[in-house]
Amino acid sequence: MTFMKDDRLLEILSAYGASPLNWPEKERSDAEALLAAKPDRFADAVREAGALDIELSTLPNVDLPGGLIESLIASAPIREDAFQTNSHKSSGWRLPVIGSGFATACFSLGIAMGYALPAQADRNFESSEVALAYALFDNDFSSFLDETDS
Amino acid sequence: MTGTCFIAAGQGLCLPEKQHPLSRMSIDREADQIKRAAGGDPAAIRAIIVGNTAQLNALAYRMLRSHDDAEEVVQETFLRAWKALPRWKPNARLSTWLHRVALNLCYDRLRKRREHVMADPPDMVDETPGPQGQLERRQNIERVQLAIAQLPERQQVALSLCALEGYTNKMAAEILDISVEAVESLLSRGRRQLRQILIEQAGDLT
Repeated sequence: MTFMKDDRLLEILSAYGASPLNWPEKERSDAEALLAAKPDRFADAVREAGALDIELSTLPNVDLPGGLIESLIASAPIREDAFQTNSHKSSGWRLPVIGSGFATACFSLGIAMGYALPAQADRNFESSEVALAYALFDNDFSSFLDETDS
Repeated sequence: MTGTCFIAAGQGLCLPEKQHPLSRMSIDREADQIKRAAGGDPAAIRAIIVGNTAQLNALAYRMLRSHDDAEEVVQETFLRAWKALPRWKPNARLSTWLHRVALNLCYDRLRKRREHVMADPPDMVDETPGPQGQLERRQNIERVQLAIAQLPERQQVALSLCALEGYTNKMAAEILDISVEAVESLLSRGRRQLRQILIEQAGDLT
């Protein structure tokens, strides 16, 4: 038993085509029931709508251009410190902040040592002390030491 | 493949089921995502881009029939979105708004094309020679694309959204900012006119 009128099913076929998948969800079951009850009544309309559906189905899906998403992300106004002000933190974005904190600590340590070391040690002692200090942070700062020794 | 199949004109046809951003996310969750994106949160920005780009690109390509133009429209759409997000009011879904912006940009480009003689026509289909069947398929695609291009813009949009990209009539109504009944009318008139154009070209439909 369906409450849909014939004219409404004809309108649906005319607007949405012959595939029930494309019919309005709320009316789909009624429309399918009416079509099943009177196949001859709607045969021409189904054939006509289906022929156009087949024409439209020849159009391929539109592929997403390679690199577009990356390009969009690169041009987006991303804030490196955004994770500090929201609840959805991404570990990948902590690195620059940790790195800058570490650099600040190293800089402060270097200033402090610059004052302290010349008064109590020779040049070799100075180099080894600085090397030890940097080694504590598990980083290779040999290029800075090379400059100091030259 | 998920989707549905039917028999028409003696041929079986299966249509894939498509998912769209408009139907996926709750309004609350989207509002939170927009707020975070407006603050520059990379995860939220990425989610908005990944969740909408394919649909926007497909719609722009259907309207403009040029991959380059479609890509530029998508980029411009997101640039406008980033400017607008800090002032965003949740009156509409972000996806709906993005689609509207993209559509307006498409309309602008179509208008400019009509006003100026184009030095470079849109890239309709790849003209690389190939086997006979492939060539016929390309010609068929071009024939249908050209027929759709002859429809009024609003009918093109409605057909692209509902018949080609699998949007529901409600989603199309939101994007076009019209009633569902008006979308249905556009679809009906669009299909009727398209059928007429194709019949005039080929003498009959498949």
